[in-house]
Order: sequence, then structure tokens, then C-alpha cells
Amino acid sequence: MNEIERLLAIEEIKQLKAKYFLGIDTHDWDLWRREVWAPDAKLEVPELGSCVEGRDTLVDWVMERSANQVSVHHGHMPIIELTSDTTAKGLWAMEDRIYRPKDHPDYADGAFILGFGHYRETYVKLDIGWRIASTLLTRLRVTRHRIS
Amino acid sequence: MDATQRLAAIEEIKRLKAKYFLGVDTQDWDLFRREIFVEKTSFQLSEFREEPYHGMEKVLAMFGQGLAGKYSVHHGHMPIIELTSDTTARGLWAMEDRIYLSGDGAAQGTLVLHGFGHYHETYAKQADGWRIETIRLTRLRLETRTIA
Repeated sequence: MNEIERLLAIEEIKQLKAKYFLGIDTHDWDLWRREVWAPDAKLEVPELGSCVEGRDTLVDWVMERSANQVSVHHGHMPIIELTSDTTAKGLWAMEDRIYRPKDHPDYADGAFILGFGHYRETYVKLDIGWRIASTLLTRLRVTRHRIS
Repeated sequence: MDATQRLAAIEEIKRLKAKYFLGVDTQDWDLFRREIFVEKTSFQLSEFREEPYHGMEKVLAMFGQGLAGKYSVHHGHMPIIELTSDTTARGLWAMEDRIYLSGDGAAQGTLVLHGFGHYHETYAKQADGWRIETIRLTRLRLETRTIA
């Protein structure tokens, strides 16, 4: 892999993560299945005590938790490093906002949640392009608010 | 330096600054010594003090004292990076930060400083990669509020 191929791979991985954010906030789960996750992908969220594996299980799990709520997720300042021609690792700072209606099952946990943290990820290049192989979300800070 | 090398240098400097943000918010001062600052780095917090802090250890001591017992979230956006030679560069980053002065995230009554501004920086390429040489932080606005 030469220098220009390396830069292009880094750009593709940034766009891949952008599709992750687009998919989760627009609830476009088909985009997630088609273009975001590797088939054996893993998502780990220690604050929820959760670790889900396999693309379909993972997408269903996030879809269920996201139903009936509005979310805004932003990623910042990626540190992307290629570990071979077809694998990479990355770290993204993140900020998210979750808005829940009164009839949401988790409404008591917070009507508005503001969070900050980091995604630590690995990526794999398949025939169809780069995909997320694993994600670990750690938190710096989560604040829960009631909206009157 | 050809266009590919220039792009690679700009990407490396973005990654360097991302490590700066990671280091501040996880209070990983060794990361600064190993991968972020030149030994003779300087940091000017222009809103509080005209005279810059000079040298790695003085700057890290200032960070450590300023953030001890607190939680912070710093995000950088929209970098303007310009190579000034093969081994020097300057950059400007928009920034937003939150510093939680006490308590845990859900606790009501926690005081939060929420600020916006710019980092004005210079970088130097050493044998082991790009490092931050000087930082001047200017503020557009600093809000103080209490979590309700």
C-alpha cells in the first residue's frame, strides 16, 4: 500500500463512520446492514453492561433501543491507523443527545440525555469496502435531564 | 514535498491534535510526553495570563492542577493547517470545551464551565513524528452554569 492508497483508506474509514452516525440518527437500519458493519461485527457498551455480536443481532439491538426516541450523535477528531492493507484501528471522540417522549419505557431514566465519550474501533476491508469490525464505547460524562 | 506527502503531513497533524484532546480529557500526561509535545513546548492561556507556560513539565503541571478532581470534554473542529516548511507547520482549530467542577454527571448542582474559542498553534516534525511546539488559546465565550 503506497502513501496515496493509505490516505484514501483513511478517508474511506472516516466516511464509513459518518454513515454510522447518519444511520443511527435517521434510523436507517438498512444502511447499517448494507454499508456499515462487518458480518461478524461486535458492539460493546460497558456503561449498559452490553456486548452484542453479529451484524443482525447488533442492528436489531440498537434498533429496539432507538425506537421512539430522537438522537443526535457527532464524532470528532478521528485517530485512524492502518494495521495492514485490510485492517485498521480508530479512535473517535463523540458527543450525543437523546430525546425521549413521555411514553418511552426509559423516560424515567431521563427525558434528555447529554453524553460525551470515545469510540475505540477496528475496521476490516471486505470485497465491498471498509466495514466496522468492532466498537467499544467508553464515556467521559453522561448527564440526565428532565424536560418540563 | 509533493502533494501526497503534504496531505500525509496534514493528516498526521490532525491525528496529533486528536491525541492532545484525548490526553487532556483522559488526563493521560504520559501521552503528552511520549507523543504530543516537543520538550520546549509553550502554552499561552491568553484569557487568564499573558505570560506563556514554558517547557513540557510546566505545561503539564498547569494541566494537572487545573483539572485535578474535575471532568473535562474538549472538542476541536475545522482545522486550518498550513505547512510552512518540510518540518514546520501552523494550525488553527475551533474549540468547544466543558469542564465539570465537581460531582458525577447526574448530580444536580454541579457547576459547568462551557467555553468556545480557538487554538493557534505551531508544529515541528521531529525524527519520531510531528509534535506541538506552541499553543495560544483564545476564547470567544465562557459560560458558567449549574446542572438543573
